[in-house]
Amino acid sequence: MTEPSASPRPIRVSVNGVDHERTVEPRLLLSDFLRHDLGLTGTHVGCEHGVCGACTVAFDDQPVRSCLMFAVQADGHRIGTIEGMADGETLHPLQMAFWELSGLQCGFCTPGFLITARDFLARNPDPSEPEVREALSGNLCRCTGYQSIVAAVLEAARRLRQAPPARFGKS
Amino acid sequence: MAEGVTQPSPGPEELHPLVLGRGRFLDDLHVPGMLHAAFVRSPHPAARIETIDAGAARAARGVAAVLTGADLPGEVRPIRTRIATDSRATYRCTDWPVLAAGEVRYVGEAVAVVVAESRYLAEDAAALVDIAYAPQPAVSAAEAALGPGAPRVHDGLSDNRLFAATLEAGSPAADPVVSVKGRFRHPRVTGAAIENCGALADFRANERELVLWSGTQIPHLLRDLIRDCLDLGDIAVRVIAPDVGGGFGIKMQALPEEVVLAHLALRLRRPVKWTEDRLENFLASFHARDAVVEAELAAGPDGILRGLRARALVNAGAYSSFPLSVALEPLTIASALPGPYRLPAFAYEGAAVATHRCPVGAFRGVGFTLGPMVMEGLMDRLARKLGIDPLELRARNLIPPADMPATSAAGALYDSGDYPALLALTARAAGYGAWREEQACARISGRLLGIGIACFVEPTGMNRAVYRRRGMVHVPGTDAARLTLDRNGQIEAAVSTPTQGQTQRHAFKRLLAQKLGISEASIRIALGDTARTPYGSGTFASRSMVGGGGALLTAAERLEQRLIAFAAARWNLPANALRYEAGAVAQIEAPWEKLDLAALAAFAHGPDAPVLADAEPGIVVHATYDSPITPVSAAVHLALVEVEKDTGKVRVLRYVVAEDCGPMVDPAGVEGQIRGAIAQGIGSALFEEIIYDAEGQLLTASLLDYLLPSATDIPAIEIVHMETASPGTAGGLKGVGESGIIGAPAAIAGAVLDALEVDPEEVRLPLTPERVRTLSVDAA
Repeated sequence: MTEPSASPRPIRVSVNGVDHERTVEPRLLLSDFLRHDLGLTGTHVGCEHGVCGACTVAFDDQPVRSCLMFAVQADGHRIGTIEGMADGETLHPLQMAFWELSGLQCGFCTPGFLITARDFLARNPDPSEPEVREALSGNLCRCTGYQSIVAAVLEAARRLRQAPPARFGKS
Repeated sequence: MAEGVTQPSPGPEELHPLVLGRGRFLDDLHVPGMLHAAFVRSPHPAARIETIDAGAARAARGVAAVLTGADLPGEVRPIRTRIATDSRATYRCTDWPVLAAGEVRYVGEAVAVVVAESRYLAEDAAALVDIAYAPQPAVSAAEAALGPGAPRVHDGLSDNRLFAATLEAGSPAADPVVSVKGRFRHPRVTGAAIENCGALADFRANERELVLWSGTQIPHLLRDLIRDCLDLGDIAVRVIAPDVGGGFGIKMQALPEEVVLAHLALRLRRPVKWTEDRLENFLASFHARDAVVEAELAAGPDGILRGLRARALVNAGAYSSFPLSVALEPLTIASALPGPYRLPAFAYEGAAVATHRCPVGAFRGVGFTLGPMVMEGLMDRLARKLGIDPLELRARNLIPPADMPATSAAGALYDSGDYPALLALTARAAGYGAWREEQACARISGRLLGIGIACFVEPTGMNRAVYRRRGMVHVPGTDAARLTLDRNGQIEAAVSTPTQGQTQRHAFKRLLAQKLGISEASIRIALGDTARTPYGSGTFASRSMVGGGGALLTAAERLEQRLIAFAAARWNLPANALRYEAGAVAQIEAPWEKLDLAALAAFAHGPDAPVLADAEPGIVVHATYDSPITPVSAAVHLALVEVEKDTGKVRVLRYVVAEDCGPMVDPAGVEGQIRGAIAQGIGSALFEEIIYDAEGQLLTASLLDYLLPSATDIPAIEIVHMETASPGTAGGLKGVGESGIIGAPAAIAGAVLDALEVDPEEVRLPLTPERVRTLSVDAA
């Protein structure tokens, strides 16, 4: 059996609805590809071992740890990052709720929380507080103590139930 | 934000780009021509470096340079943190070479740096650096480091004791007393900000300026250190803190890697960036606490305290960090121990020892976290011994308002506060009596509930006198603000205290707008850049509101006087005929005659403006603020926990806080700081521990081993407030950033012991399920 090649290969990835064609080494992490090859620095890297969740992006509408994936695995797939969450300058209700209710302090973990929460609310639009905490337990925050994050997600859920926005896509 | 938008912002403006993912953190920065650095780090806790062969690394693809300690020219000096001691303390300075010079003293110490076109290529080449080490005997535990014949971490020193201090106040009571004692051990922990450390150095040769971006809490002091370590001649240094993803004190120490980056930029004439990965953060980026305190508390049969005797031993790691040194923990533990209590006698010995572990630095709360762990732990023991309710025992001993301002047994001034009222407020807010009833009922059905109490004080915004008394010569203790009225009538407020996410821009804007009577929209805040902000200490030790805010208020008063002076020139009237109010200067006799900020700005920048020979054109005022006193905040924490006997799991059911941090400029910001700090304290109490084996190998080098609390571990924290203004600071302001973590380990530990009804010889945090099970088995 021949060794798999480490030489660069072409990939085609749709990120926030825009197609990108690049040639990348197989070992290039998806997080590094998004941040440095595409310049989308909103996705942050906290640990590179899949624990902190700061690097969470949507991969074909599923939240994934981009630090645990290679860019080549995204070939032919759709990625959604924080940069695609707002509609132009109009904030997604989650972003607005985080802003209003101080669901962030330094903001480093925030994109990961927003991507995770958006997916969670799409599947569970009327969650209880314990359900929100459970859903967010894979995202670490060191600044807030989580209470304001949970409050922001519950408030965003309430607003989304009242007026589901047609224009916010997932990726 | 769009230009000209006048409706109020839904939240602090600085959070808006962050929710959009438009933050600019260190690793987001890109400078054309930038190279990337990766460090080769020691796998041994103690070793001589015999040979380094970097040939293969230098020849590797995309590599621009490989440097070892031997390659640094003589003028790259080690980090040398000095302390000026008095007769009660001894300190031995250590030389910390920025790349290991002939020997390594901890696992993770930087031995070589590889600079390449990408981080991936730099790491490839780093793996090719061939280093022959001769391992030496290593010492890891502090007690072992003090033992006779212990390996010496620094050959030039006769033993491993780097710092020792004693304090003695009052005289112990002669009559028979009740006493309780205990040993309290706080684990080695770290800040574990979600953003790791990093720096980017760029030498702009034509402008003779070296720019260093760093996620630092101390831009000006870091600039000082760079100048001390490098011979820069006519090259200016500019330090810029970009968006910083949490600091928590860990980022207030200078990293040797920052000095190496600065040197590389000068040497290679290309920008160089380095960001830690999480493994490096655990190996080499400042640990904290790692202290054990043995103490004995004496009281009368009525529970009134007679005296406290304590001895503290801190495991400081291999080198003394900049700017505070290894003196930090022993000194702050001493200040913290008396707490808010009347204590007639206090005897203390504290020491910091060198070991072959990563150097320690400040982490939120510092020794003030150890204080309540010990004092509150002993108070609970005393209460159990005397059969007095633990809350009642504290109430009997808290310094009453009639005695304020008070001087603590450690010689600190407690400027203001009503500690008994704070305790009563907390008990009422929690429903303490109902908690005790619930606990009693639960016990009948076999459930173990416990209640923990932590009463404590927090000195904030420490002034120059404190840092001089501590001998910390590298910290000025002042902060500064500069206010500039620009030609459009907008005010730029530049403050020396940078931000790591505490929303200071929002709080400073509000403070200044209220003081000057103008809208927040006419103010912009500049932070974090030594080229744009005046010199000051930085953001740490709960000082940005006291120091930075105090400087702003002082500068605002000068601004009002300067505006009056310009209006006087404009109208050709004496200044005492004019008055400043709400954004305008008016004539006292003809109050409809007004010049608002826009008009004054136009005049000050116009052709008829008076020329001030010793100041910039326009209206610019400066204030360097040395807080007249160190204001002291206080709080009481009450925690209700459930302990599962079989699994050792501890669940925090309720957590109630009464906080008095003086007038709150930004209440939402204050509560965010309290809750975030409590979460970190719960982390120390139940989850977090950096573990080295006896040989000095680090065992916890990832977030899989070092457990950070998640959203399911931290309850909703209920906060009530008192606001006692300080009589001594501008605006009566006090700080609050560390408050939550100072109380939480004590409250959680106390609650667990209360649930298990045990008083072990040693209280060892974190109270992991294994330790809790052991305690409950011992109790049975």
